[in-house]
Amino acid sequence: MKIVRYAVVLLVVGIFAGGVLAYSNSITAPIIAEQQKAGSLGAFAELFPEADDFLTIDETLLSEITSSNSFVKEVYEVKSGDETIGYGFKTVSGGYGGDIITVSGFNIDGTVAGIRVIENSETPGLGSKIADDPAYQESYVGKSTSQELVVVASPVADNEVLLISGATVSSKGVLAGVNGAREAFVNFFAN
Amino acid sequence: MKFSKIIKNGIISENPIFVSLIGMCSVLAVSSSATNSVAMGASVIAVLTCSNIVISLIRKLIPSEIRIPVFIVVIATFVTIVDMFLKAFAPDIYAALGIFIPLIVVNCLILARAEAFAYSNGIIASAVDGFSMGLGYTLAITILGMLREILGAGTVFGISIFGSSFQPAAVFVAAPGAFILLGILIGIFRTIQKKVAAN
Amino acid sequence: MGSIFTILISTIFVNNYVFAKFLGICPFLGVSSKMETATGMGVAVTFVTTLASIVTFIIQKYILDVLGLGYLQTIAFILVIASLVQFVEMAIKKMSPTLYNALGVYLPLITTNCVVLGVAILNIQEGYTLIETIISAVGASLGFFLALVLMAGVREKLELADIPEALVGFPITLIATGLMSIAFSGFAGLV
Repeated sequence: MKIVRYAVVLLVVGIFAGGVLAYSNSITAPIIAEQQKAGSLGAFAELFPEADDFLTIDETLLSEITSSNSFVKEVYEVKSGDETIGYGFKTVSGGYGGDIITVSGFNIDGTVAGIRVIENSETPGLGSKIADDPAYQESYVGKSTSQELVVVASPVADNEVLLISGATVSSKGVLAGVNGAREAFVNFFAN
Repeated sequence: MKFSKIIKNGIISENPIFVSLIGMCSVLAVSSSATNSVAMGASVIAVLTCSNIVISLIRKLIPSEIRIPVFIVVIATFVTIVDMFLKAFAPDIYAALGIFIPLIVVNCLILARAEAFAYSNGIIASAVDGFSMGLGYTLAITILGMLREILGAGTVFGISIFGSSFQPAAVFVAAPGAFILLGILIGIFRTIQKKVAAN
Repeated sequence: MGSIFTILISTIFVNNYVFAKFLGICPFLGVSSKMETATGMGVAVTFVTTLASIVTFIIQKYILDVLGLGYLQTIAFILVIASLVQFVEMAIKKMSPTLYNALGVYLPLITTNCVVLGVAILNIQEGYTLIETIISAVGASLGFFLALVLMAGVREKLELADIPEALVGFPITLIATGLMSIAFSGFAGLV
């Protein structure tokens, strides 16, 4: 009889816990989904101030890109009125403390519109500068997509972007993602 | 038991971090900045207070042989709720605390209070105990977080305090600094407690 | 093959669960004072972590994902681990009393060892396959084992050292752990 009582108590507790969780999931799940979407689109809106719409690209094209490119996860076509002004990419690359999620925007003329690091777990104060230091993200703006980008301490040339001192691995982590996006942009979208 | 004694226990005489040394993993991991520390502390206070209340409420219905699984289910439920709400309403903080939110489940502090206090005390006393233990945890982790941020990045809560000429010692925000600073802090806390007791 | 080797090196050395990820600190501080207990705990953790990772992987992929109950992950995993520990304890007791005598006292402690739950959750987050999950679990527990044994060696020597009174016991252990963590950070960039 004892064992039955134990089972009943555990079952009641379990059902109750499940019910509470299902309820709070139903409240939070839509907000979480909304927020994740706003996370990347909000960053794109900053990169393309004149854009008024971001269209998801054709599914088959996206799977063609993601199968040949391990960094790219999402691609958006950036519209201003009827005109396509650029493309936005969401990439995942490895950093020092875990994955770095970056969004990169490329103008249709082949220049970098800008990048934003939207998620990282790099060391605060060092690697986290990839997201907190505007100078780092600024250093990508206007660079050419015609060749692979590289990080250097004081960028000058058309393919050089900033290397944060003390955060080499984090800087290169972001760079890997952006270069992955650049490659996909050049191969699939640039004229 | 008097409430003032329960509160003093949680914050000073049985401070979970400085005295009992339980629930250390999250303390070391998320104290890399003061903001993260406060957020983690708040999450622990929420889970600990709620789980203490519920366990105290249902303590007469739980046979003692299966109390541990019941505690775990109750704690895991509250942890998941905190997890969901942080993810929905404070995604930045959620990203910074990462896996240490679900790991509150195995934070020995919560289970220890359920077992040692809530299972044998009334609802209000249990709530006070949970809250003050959580507060003791929060104070300890915030002190550690502020120190690490000051020494390792030259900022407190993200605000620069030394100006740009200050060269921070990055080791303090990295893993080794956490261990070393916590060791020193516990040493200091002990010395102070001893001095106070001697007087 | 490449990725398997990378996961192994990364979990044992570069991202050592004790020195770099701060998981399993409680048992690490608790049982690292003697070489003998450290070895016993290390073996028990390796056993349970690997088994728990396999079971939680199957539960996540074939039950939670299929039913869309991802939000029950924490609660499901911790229950699996708790029952697994209980089950392992009973099985060992029956099959090998010698092994039970050696490991028995450590087994109940493992339920609240965050390495076990941590590895299980991280494996799912990383999107590992079953093989990768097993490798990462083995690597994580070997890393934990290594940390325990190294620390036990240091602490046996510390017993004889002249340490300021305020630091005797846990404080000096934490400081020594910090120094070892500096040594381990030398592995960063290996993978």
